[in-house]
Amino acid sequence: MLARFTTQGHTEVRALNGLTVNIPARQFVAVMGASGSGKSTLLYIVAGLARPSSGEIQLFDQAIHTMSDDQLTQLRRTRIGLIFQSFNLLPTLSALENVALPLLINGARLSAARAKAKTLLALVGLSDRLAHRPDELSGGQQQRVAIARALINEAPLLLADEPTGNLDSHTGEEILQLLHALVADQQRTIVMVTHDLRAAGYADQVIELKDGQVVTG
Amino acid sequence: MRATLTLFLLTSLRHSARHKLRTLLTLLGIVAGVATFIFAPTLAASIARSVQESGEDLAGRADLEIRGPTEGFHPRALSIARTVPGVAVAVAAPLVQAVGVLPDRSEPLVVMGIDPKFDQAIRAYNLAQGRFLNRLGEVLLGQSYAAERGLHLNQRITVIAPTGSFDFKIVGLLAGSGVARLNNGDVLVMLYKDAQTLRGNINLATIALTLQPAQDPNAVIAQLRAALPASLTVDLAQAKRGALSDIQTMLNFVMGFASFMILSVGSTLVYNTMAVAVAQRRAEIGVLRALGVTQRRVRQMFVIEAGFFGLLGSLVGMLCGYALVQSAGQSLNLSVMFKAAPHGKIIAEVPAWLPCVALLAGVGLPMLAGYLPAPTWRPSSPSASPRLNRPPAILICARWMWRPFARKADVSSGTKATNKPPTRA
Repeated sequence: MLARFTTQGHTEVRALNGLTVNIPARQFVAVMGASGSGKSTLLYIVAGLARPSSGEIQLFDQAIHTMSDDQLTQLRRTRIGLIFQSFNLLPTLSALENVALPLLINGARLSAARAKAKTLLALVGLSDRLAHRPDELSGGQQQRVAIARALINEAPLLLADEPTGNLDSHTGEEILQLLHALVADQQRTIVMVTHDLRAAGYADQVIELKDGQVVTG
Repeated sequence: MRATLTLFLLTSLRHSARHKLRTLLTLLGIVAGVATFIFAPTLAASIARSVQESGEDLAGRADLEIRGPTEGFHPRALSIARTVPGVAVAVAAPLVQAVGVLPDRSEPLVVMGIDPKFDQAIRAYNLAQGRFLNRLGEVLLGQSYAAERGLHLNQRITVIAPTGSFDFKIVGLLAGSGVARLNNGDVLVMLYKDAQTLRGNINLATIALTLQPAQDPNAVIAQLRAALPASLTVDLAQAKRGALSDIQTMLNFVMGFASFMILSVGSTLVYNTMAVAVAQRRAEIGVLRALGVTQRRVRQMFVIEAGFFGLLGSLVGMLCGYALVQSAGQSLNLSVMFKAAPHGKIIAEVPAWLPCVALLAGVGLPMLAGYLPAPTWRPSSPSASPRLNRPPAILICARWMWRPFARKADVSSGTKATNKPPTRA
């Protein structure tokens, strides 16, 4: 039973309110809900970027709600890939460097990280954009770079926060197909937060939230 | 550590290279702060020392001093003073006035009119070359002044004064301490009568006296007051030095306070420029934290970056500080700042400990500024989650400043402010 309460001003915000969710491995799970339903909060708690006010989270057979900040960071570095709505690429780095960054953070050699980043950029169809910086790429291309970055550490769990939210419908379709292929071909687990019904159509399971509680799923 | 250095090279340096103006301003802040660290205390100490040395050079070893009205007083007072019991030496104190010397009239010399028979008992004259004054028409010249202008011993020079042009022969060159140090060596010493001719009257300005051993100064003062005209005042020369000392104490206090304020501003400048530079990369820190960079590594990265720019800025700042000190030493003149003091250029020397303190401040403060704020920006909640498309800081400030006015507008229009729960996707 997960709960997260925060206060903003004098108002208590119950982002998650007694919620129990089971996410099976190697599945594409969509979390849906209206604005303020708590879906992003759930995603950030799973990623270890936020802590629940009460409740337990079991991830990879570990109780991550008891982990220290450093342990959560280590978990994110090795086992979780994050994809954001606004891409969150570092603007000063090229596409290749952005993708290689998680490996470099992990202490890998630059040459090895670059080689793997090249392979992944080829996988997402950006072999010809290696040296381009984010501001020289379209929204769809930036999201592909972000996906490649999330894949480089071979994380079994990908968490995507509205990955198609800033993209046009055609590019959004391409990104969703790419994510779906990752589950089918590479046996990854993807949890995707979205309020787009069409996006949720690509998922194996849909969890719908309302006022911090599970409605369906 | 390799990962931290890679992050520093890949993100910090790249960020700095991309935001050239921001980097330049950060460096300028450190340069200005460190230059201030070097310049302000050096200037304060140099001015204080210069005032003290000038006072000592001019006052010499005199015990008492006779002063008169602004227009001076008759030389007969000197003869009277010499007859008073207990007085060992009485000399007309130097008649100080500025004149030019041909062919270079641009920089005025300080002329001292002295009595060669008695004056050496009171003031120090160190002759580097030649001999002391014997007769009218002879002068002693500061050695440095002579060297700068190619003047040499036994050469004749033309002195330009308010009363006309006069030829003199250089019979000695003064160097070292004492009178040669006055006005940074730009000094011309001649017989009192020659100086009176240059001045256009025979009046004396002051008389300096030394006492015989074991004499009570107050008793001699009383006798002098009784013997001299009432328009003349007799005081301890120490009183004059005391007044100079008071002025010096005040000057020390003012300069010390000014230095403290400037150093405080410099320190704040150094700290703030780095703290702002770190704050502007909050979004980047958020992304790095989300990708698995620990707080400790974020700290390390910013500390290395701050140390790098701190060292770079400090080295440039120290060079600028030394340049400012040299420039001040060459261009500042005490007469501009302190009219009661005799002429004397400031000899600016940076104390050995100051560059170390400046380097410590220039590197340490930015490192502190990099160390302190970095770990507080962790993406610990969705609201603090990393987003790069946040509005610019200036817009956030403007909104924050507008808030009270917006509330007033709501009240005056009858709109009741509601405390809606925030919406979040």
